[in-house]
Amino acid sequence: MNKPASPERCLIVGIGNPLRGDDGVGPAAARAIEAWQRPGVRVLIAHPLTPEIAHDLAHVDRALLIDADVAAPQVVVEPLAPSDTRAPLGHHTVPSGLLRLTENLFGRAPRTWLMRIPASAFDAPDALSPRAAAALVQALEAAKHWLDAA
Amino acid sequence: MSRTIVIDPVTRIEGHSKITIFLDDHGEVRDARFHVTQFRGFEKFCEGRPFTEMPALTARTCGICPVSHLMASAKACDEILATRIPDTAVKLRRILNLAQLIQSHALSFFHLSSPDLLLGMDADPAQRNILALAASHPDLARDGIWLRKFGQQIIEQLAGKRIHPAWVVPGGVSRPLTPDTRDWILVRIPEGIRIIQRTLEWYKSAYGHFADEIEHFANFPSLFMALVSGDGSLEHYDGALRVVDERRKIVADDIQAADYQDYIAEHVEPDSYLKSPYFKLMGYPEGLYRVGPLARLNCADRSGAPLTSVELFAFRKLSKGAVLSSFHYHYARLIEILFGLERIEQLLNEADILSGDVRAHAGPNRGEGVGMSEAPRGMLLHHYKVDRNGLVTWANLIIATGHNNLAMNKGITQAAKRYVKGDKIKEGALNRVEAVIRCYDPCLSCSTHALGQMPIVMQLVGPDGRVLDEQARFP
Repeated sequence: MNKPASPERCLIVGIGNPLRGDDGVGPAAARAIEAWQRPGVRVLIAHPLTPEIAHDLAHVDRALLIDADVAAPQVVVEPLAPSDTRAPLGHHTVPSGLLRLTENLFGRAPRTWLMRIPASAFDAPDALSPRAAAALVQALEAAKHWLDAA
Repeated sequence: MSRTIVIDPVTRIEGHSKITIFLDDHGEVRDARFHVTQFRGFEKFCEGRPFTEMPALTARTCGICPVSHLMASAKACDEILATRIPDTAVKLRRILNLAQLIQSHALSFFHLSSPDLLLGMDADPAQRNILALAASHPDLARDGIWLRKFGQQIIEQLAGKRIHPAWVVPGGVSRPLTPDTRDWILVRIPEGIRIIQRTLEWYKSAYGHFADEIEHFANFPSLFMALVSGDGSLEHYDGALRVVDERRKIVADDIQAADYQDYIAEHVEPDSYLKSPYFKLMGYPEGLYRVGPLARLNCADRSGAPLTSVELFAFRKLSKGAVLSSFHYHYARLIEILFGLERIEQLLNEADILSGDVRAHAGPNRGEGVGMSEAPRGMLLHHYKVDRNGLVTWANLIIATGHNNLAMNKGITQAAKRYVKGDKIKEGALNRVEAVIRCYDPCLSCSTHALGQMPIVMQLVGPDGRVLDEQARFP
């Protein structure tokens, strides 16, 4: 009897602060994906990306980091490579730098993609602008494709 | 002709600030000032809100230490309720507060300060960071990540989420501890203790290499202020304030939260949004005092936890009186991580820890409440006044970083006099002056209630006010 293949382990990280308007679009997308209850998919919310998330990344096969981006003209999903880029000043890190940290500390980093969602308004607490709300729908479609491509 | 150096922004701390170094006519450092350049005025936002919202509302002051605000705020609200909260709720709050201490101290030591200790104060800043540390010392970096993550996971397990949890409420906590969560935490404590003990052994073998920094990093006689428990033990949640001098002689003791205004006053400097609290009985600026891990160890008679007691004994050997060099805030942080792990284990093994009696219910019975607790960076105080409907009419928050403001200013002056030479800022000098600030692990987001992380600007200014040199680091 063939042993069933174990499902690929995926990590979804929604980056942003829901109290800062469109900055919360990453967490909103991550929460929606969590509600799909896909096997093997774990969801994290990170206001900023902090170093300990390296431990979570080291234990999955694929990762999707979802963030708001004022420069994104539309929803973009692109592969992310480790780099030495860092946020040297405070308590947080940046996506590619976090991958490098994961690689250095745990000997491997998962195949990772960064999803950038258009964002423009950051004043209203706990509310998305019409632009970000529309982009969130597209982002969830893209996330489905990403998960199905496993 | 006297001149000025400016460091702007200060790096690897939380918030936004700059440092100005003033030179005299001979080109020697005359004075240095730490300016906090952002302002939020959080107290004003609180006015008109129901006091029951204050724990959740004030926790939003900061994404780094929201649990600390939850604690002080909930304790102020308990006073307004005028009720005694259940013993189990006190224990659960203590565990949450210690978990916050562990994760915050781990971030400060392993991620923000250890690059200076392991890669060198004079190293290229591009190579003096957590990424380079992970490449050169992966075991230590992994240990830091383990401890930080464990503290965050305890918070998440108890309170539902890592950032801005709403589990702590006026009167107690909103739900009891489950056996699964207790066991999940307990089984991981021994690994945490192993990690912090080997880190302490490394630190004790390494700090001798930093004799000059220990001598000149905010190393001066001062008062120290911290909560201690009724028997004088190390305390982070309850107890009363104690003030000791440089000999560890008690200057004031058993100061209750409601009486804080008899002992603490706040001075406002024209060049910073960060206020300068001082010990009122000695006046300004002589009443300079320090808070935080170093102050807590200097104020406490004992730790009340067996492994921590051994470390505290070794720590006491650094000085006949109080340990005065702020460099040893790092050492104190490591000892407090050990203490946090030991105390959490003790508390989780208490017979009533799974009790369902975790919240007292009452309406507003007093028009005023003051709550004090020890945040990772030092004593945190929330003071509210409410009307008969329980709406906040006035609020005052005194934050750990504010308590240390006068000490940080004196400390950077001492370091600048030692390390800044001539009218150009060299990297080693820039980093050492910044590192004095980092010893205190300031959280300016809380203390001015400013947004975001902390870039730093350093300026060198001549006696005529002309800026001679400026070094800035931004994200």
